Amino acid sequence: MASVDELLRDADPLRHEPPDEASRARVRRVVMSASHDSPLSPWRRRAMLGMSVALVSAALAVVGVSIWPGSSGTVHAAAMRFEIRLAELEPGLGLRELRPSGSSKPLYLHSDVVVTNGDIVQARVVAGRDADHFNIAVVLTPEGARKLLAATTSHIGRPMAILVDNELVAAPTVRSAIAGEALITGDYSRAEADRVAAGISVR
Amino acid sequence: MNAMAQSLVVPMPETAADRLALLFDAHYDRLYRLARRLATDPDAARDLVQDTFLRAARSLTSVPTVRQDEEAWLVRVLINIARDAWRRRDVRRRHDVAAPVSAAGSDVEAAFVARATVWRALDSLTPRRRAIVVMHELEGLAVPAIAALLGVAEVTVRWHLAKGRRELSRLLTTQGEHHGKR
Repeated sequence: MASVDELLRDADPLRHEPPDEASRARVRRVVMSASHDSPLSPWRRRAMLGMSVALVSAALAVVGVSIWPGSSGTVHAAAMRFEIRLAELEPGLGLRELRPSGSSKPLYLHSDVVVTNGDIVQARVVAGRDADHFNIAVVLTPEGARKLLAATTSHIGRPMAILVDNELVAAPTVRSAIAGEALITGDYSRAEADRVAAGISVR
Repeated sequence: MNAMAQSLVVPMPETAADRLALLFDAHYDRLYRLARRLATDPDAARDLVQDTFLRAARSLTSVPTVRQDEEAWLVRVLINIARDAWRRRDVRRRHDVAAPVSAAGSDVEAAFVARATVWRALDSLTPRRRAIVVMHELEGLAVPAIAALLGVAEVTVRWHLAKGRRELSRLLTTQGEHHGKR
């Protein structure tokens, strides 16, 4: 007799049933009809360009902790310099090489800083994936949003670098033009998130 | 770039409807695959997925914004809905479904019946155990990945896997004997 694993694989209905796009569309209509076309939350309305973004970085879960190790220190609010710069995967004229910790592949940073602390209206701690983890929502000034939009529009498909105190904390790939708000996500403890948000907020 | 290569910049939706649409488009296929393997037929699977997204629509603010966490949230909701339905089902019927489907004539039909019999044997597993068996055996997910997705300890996943395999093996052996006696 065949093993349970083999029997299961052979009986798997997905092997024998074609995708049903019509049913998918029907379910989508039902689900969307249950939605209210309301703004997501009041703080989003503060986004000056009416456009918001999520800066999603799985890397921060790993890298963030190594940069902000625990909550043992006091909050040094003014100590943190927050920067977003455009970056490249290949070397070029005027680009500064940066080797992310734990990575064999370097990143090449543009000399111009696109966004820094002065471009931020507010950085605050928001709920994360569960009660023990927190993210940081960053709202840009109109000028900061305009600069980020201009920079990212011509940089789609290429990386950008997020630095805190000159250390690379994330190198996300730009998938679309961004402005307005950013959400830095990554399994922070409440104390770590408070510390980072306080550090970013001070100009 | 290791973990950093996973970083993405994606547009964040402005309204609840946009967010729900993005959520649906990003996760429907994955949820349907799981639901189909937890359900007896495609209609039941679609109902499961639909109820999952309807629950997300009702409590959109509690859905996490990171993709992996979104997926884990939706998968857990889907399994909970499957569990509620499974509990509501008449206990006797639940055990009946593990009984062999009646034999058929041609080889094609016989193969179909054999597959249906195996599939229906899965119905006697609790939805969480069934999901763990399905994710491991059919989706090829490793134990730590399943544990992270479901928010349980790896030892719990291993325990469900072992119990699930044993239960299925016992059921299928019993059914093999049934067939042999015919």
